[in-house]
Amino acid sequence: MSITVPVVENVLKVNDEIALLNRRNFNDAHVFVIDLIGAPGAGKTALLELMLDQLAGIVRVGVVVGDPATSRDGQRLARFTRHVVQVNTGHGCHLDANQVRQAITKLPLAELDILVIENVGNLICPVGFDLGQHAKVGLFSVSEGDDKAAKHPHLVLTANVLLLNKIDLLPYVPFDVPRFREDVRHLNQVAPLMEVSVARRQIDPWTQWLLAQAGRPQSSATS
Amino acid sequence: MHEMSIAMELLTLIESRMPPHATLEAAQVRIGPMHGVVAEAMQWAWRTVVSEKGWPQARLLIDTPPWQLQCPACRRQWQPQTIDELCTCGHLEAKLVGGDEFLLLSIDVVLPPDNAAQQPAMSSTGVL
Repeated sequence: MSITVPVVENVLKVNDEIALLNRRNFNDAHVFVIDLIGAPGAGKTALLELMLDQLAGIVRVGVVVGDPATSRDGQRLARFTRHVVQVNTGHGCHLDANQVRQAITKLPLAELDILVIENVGNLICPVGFDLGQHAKVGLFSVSEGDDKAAKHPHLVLTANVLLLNKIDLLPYVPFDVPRFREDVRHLNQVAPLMEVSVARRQIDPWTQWLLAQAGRPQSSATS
Repeated sequence: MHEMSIAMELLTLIESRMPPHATLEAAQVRIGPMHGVVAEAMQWAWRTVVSEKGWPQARLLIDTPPWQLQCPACRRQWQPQTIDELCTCGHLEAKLVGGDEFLLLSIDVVLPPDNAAQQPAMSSTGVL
């Protein structure tokens, strides 16, 4: 006998339930958590290296970093903080809530002010999986081309902050900043869009925003 | 390859809704374009996870609803070609009201003979 069983439930229900548990843990520990999403090579790890360097002694930052393979990013970041957990996803193209849940068991959340989850380099897959973060940050770079915001609407629509990195390369690559900004604003009228250059150590708007979210003074982050 | 992760999540949800000892015949899902799921890749991932589960014949039926935008100024609602389309009234800030769905709608299952005899009056094949 064959029957049809009506369901009508969110496919990502299990992930979302674990994400909710993560968020409760983050709230209980008073740690502000961001999910950093960007393409491979956009400069996610380089941004974190500089950010950790500039925020040293001001706030305590931990990192969960996801990559398909190797612990290279984890090793890079461990030069700036001892609170780093590397997650290897194998064939997985994003982090899910359960992977983050396992990772944070290795971190002293109560001793942190900010936790950054550096997602696997990818502009599509990570966007659909809630990790329990408080803010989703989309990182683009000028070397990727000025059409990437329009081509990846899900990330732009759901991001709380958008960063445009490598603006030091603007004289050398074709990138129409007003067009990029217009594409972003069509999709998301609320999220701040910040232009930064990790290579020139110019990430002030980003660190100021982060300090504000963590409830810290906003004047002493840069070096 | 997030289709594989999605297929695994989907199967976990399906298993929680399966009657005891039943065999899965088909699953109906609704996936909006916002989720960036490629249908061919999703079918391939589905085939992999259901085969490992012992239901190699189980079909995946994907309903893809269109983007739906609504203009906050003139209240017009429409199905755009692209998500960044402007309203005909010229307003720049259309709101997304459809296209982000991600739902398991129903499953078709075959009950074993003894369960079938005890099964209360549920929907018959293909009828919700």
